[in-house]
Amino acid sequence: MSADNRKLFEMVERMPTFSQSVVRILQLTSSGDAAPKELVRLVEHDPILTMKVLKLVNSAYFGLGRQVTSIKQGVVYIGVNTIKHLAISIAAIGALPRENAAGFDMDAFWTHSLVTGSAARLIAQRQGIPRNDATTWFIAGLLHDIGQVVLAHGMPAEYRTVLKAARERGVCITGVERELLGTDHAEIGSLLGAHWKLPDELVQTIAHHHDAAAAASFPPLGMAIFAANQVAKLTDHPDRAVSRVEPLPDAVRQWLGLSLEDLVDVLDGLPAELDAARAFVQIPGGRP
Amino acid sequence: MKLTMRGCRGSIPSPGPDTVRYGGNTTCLQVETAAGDVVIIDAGSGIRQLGLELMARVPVRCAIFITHTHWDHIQGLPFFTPLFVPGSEVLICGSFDPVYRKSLPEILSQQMQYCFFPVSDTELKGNISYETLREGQVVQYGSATVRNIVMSHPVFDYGYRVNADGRSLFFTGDFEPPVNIYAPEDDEYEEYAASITAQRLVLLEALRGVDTLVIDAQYTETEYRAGKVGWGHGTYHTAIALAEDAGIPRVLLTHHDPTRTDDALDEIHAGLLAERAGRSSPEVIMAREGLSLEI
Repeated sequence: MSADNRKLFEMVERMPTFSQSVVRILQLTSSGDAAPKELVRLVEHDPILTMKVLKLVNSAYFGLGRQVTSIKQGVVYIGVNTIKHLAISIAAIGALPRENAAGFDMDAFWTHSLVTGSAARLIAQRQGIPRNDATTWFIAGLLHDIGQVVLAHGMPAEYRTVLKAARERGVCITGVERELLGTDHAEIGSLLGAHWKLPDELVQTIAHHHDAAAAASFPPLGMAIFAANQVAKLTDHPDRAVSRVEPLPDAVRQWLGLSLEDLVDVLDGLPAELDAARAFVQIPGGRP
Repeated sequence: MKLTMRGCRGSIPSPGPDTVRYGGNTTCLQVETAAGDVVIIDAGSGIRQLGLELMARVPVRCAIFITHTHWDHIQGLPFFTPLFVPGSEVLICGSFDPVYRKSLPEILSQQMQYCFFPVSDTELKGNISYETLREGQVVQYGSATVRNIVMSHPVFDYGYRVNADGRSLFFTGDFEPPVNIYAPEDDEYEEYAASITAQRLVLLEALRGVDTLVIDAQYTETEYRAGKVGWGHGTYHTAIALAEDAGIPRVLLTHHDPTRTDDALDEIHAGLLAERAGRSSPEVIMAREGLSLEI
């Protein structure tokens, strides 16, 4: 790990979560009889909270004998109160500002992450993946772009230039990141995931989610996230999207047995998931 | 090895005329191997009398395993005489508190801060050492081998398995078998149920070959369903069911509710035995203070 990366990770360690999540978690946990499933839903829908909770429970602090791969499994394993207190302590750090010097649109990022997660879960259902694994697929979709948050908050001035160039040229953002920063958000996200000891399948998926050339060697999860990312991009608001749609590599198309356009059509649950994601990113009852 | 129950009350000490037979002291188990190695699990108020008795054979040498640091499992520690006596060798083991990121010695020394207790931990004369345990870490203490596993409870709680003299004992600490947080009609219900099943299998594996299970059974089924779900404690029936599932021949029901009288415990025990008439295994025992069993 380079010194620069370490600096970025240290920044992420201190990084607060989304303001909407903070409001909701504090509201929910201030009543003593909060339904555990509501808490799970809140944590599972916030990429930073999810990643931080998974990072903490898989860290040496806990010293657990088995790896925790989802929030639900964590609740069964170490108890809902422990997960609740972790979420509160993460939320208590404060709220991530919705505006940042990079001009990186946090609401758009969050919506895109949620839709990618949901699309991955729908693809899992369609491909007959067991329900338990479908949660991991959702998490992989939720976290695939986490490196963008690291870059936007860790080097805002540089990332502003990247975002501007990618938009002007109408190209995939990863190429511009590599050209101007010498790294890309997939690499940074996977380094962060590895640093935080997230399950290797998540780390690998984050690392290769733009790596069309390697698609033939992707495991099913990698195929699904590549496709889900494109599905989500098709639904992104055109003025707020940061990356253009990439064509599906042959291997992914063969695995699905569908083109991207047909995939969007057969994912029946997608419109409802999209509405849910957009509603979730809005603050309940106005801004705090 | 021999097990002696030194405290089997949950939540808070509850002395009084109604708790004379089962005892009012909070959780403490004394395990002694044939070679004389003393392993203590939890330091509720029951550890005070144990400390006094151990002083009959100085220097005291023992290991204390803490399931979790709720008051009723540590409150007796400042009154454990061997800690104050030069020459004592006391090893204290337990988990790190991952939420507050505090080590076991930090948490235990907090209850000996001057505002709570007149003697600070720095004034203890015994030789006290601490070991922070990872899940599954094996501690060899003389002739006893102690393993731990994370149990389902609102806070981080280790169950301990003590193997010695070819026999095996398991104490759950506080334990509520996980319940599904989703309703059967929810999409997530099955997935959550599968996680619970997977967790149960891990626990059953840890219990394989155990001879005696000492387990949290604070509530009746009726009490549990009437508002105690999620409080972190099991019922008489979930406790016996775990022993049955794991094929354990003897189960001690403990962590008695502080409001439970001796007569009520007798009545509940009689009811359980009547329900189980004709079934010999597991033998169901209501834990009481002072009860000693060869394991």
